[in-house]
Amino acid sequence: MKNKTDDEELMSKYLLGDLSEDDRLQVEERFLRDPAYLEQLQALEAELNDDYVRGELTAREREQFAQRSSASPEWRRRVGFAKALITGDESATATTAPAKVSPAPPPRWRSLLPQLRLPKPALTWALAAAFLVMSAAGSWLVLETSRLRAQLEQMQAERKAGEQQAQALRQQAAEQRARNDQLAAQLQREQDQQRQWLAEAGRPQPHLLSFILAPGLGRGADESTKLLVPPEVQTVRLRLYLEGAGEYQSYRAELHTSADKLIWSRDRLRAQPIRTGKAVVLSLPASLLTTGEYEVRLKGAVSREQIEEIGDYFFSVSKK
Amino acid sequence: MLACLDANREHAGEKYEQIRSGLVKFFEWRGCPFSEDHADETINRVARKLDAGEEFRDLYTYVYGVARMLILEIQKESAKQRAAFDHLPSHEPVAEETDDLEPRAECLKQCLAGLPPESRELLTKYYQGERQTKIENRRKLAEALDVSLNILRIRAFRLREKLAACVDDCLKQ
Repeated sequence: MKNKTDDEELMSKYLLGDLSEDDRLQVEERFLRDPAYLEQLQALEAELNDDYVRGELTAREREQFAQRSSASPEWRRRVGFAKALITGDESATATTAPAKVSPAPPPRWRSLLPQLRLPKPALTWALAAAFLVMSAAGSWLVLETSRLRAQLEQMQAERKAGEQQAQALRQQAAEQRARNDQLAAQLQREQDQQRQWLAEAGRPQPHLLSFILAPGLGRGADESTKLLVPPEVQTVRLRLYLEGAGEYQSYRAELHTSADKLIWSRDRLRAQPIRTGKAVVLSLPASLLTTGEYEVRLKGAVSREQIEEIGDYFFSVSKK
Repeated sequence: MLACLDANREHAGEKYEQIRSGLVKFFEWRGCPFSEDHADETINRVARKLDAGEEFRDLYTYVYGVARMLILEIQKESAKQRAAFDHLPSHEPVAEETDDLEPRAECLKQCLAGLPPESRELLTKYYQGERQTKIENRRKLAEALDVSLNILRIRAFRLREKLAACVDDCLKQ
């Protein structure tokens, strides 16, 4: 991998899968348009195959190469061809080897050498070299295979752990959705009841309205957080559903406008049981609420000094 | 699609082949096992869009975009398959190609013999030596032929491809 131009370096890195996404896209778009560039890449790939077979890649490059080439049967076939070519080539290049070596039984492919006009001593050295190369390659393959298998097992274990975690999160989200649905249904019933009251002619208008709110629903996220407050109503009762919150000695609620102005607060509130769990109940003077958006911040007192944030409850008011 | 590539039918055919070869290499270098099939699928998708009357500002960019989308689909699909076959033992990379080394060497012998002497000489010299010696040999060879190293590499590659095709044919027989 030495003596290469910058462009060749970029191409080699592409072949080894060692480029940034931007550079990779650049190389790919170029070779799809430019057949000469594609041929250059293929020629470099052929040299990479040779370097791999000869063991001339660095450890990192060898690892990258094995990973890339093993995915493609075509590429593996070309590596096989490089092996055959290099083995023959090593025989062909052994012309300067010393002469005195004990004769070995000739393999079938020995007949290749006369055609390349090789002297006999070179052949024996070539055989020895080929044997050494094949032994080394064999050992390396065994080590490489076991290393890759271990790597794969580790990846599989990590993936399984990830899937379990995702499953747990999905389950948690489903439970959360079910609770929200339940609360929304309860609120809907209460609103229906309220509308029924208002619709009934001749009957005195209610002076108190009651709503249930769930934490975390964003401003304007849900129809169910829109409260219709007729002018005759004097008190609005908000039930703040305590979803998964721990037990606190007491609670503090703060009512803020959408401009984050504190307009009401109350300390030493207690949790009360409701059908679906527990809630903190606030009774607000209806005169405080004009048409607009509001946020109730609920805090829990662990001790006199220690106060914790529990959740934010958003709702909007429409006065008619 | 051919008409979209070039008004001249012959040139269009060449461009088509060029796009297809590029796509095959694209899928192969991205690690897809069936690169030829994926290249054809990409071309089919583009052709269908053209048939439907869609117009592209730049066909190459569009082809590349479709190929990248297909890669994402392939990766998703193969992730699903890997999950489904988790319990099966993994295959061993590269090693399977070593089995046919001996018949391949025989074929290589025949194919080398069939090359013109000057081509055989170029190949032999090009693959001579290791590491720095090899690099030095190639530099000298390029000087002797009065060509750049890049041109020399391309020439050696073309001969090598010819030789590889010959070996493949020989192995099939």
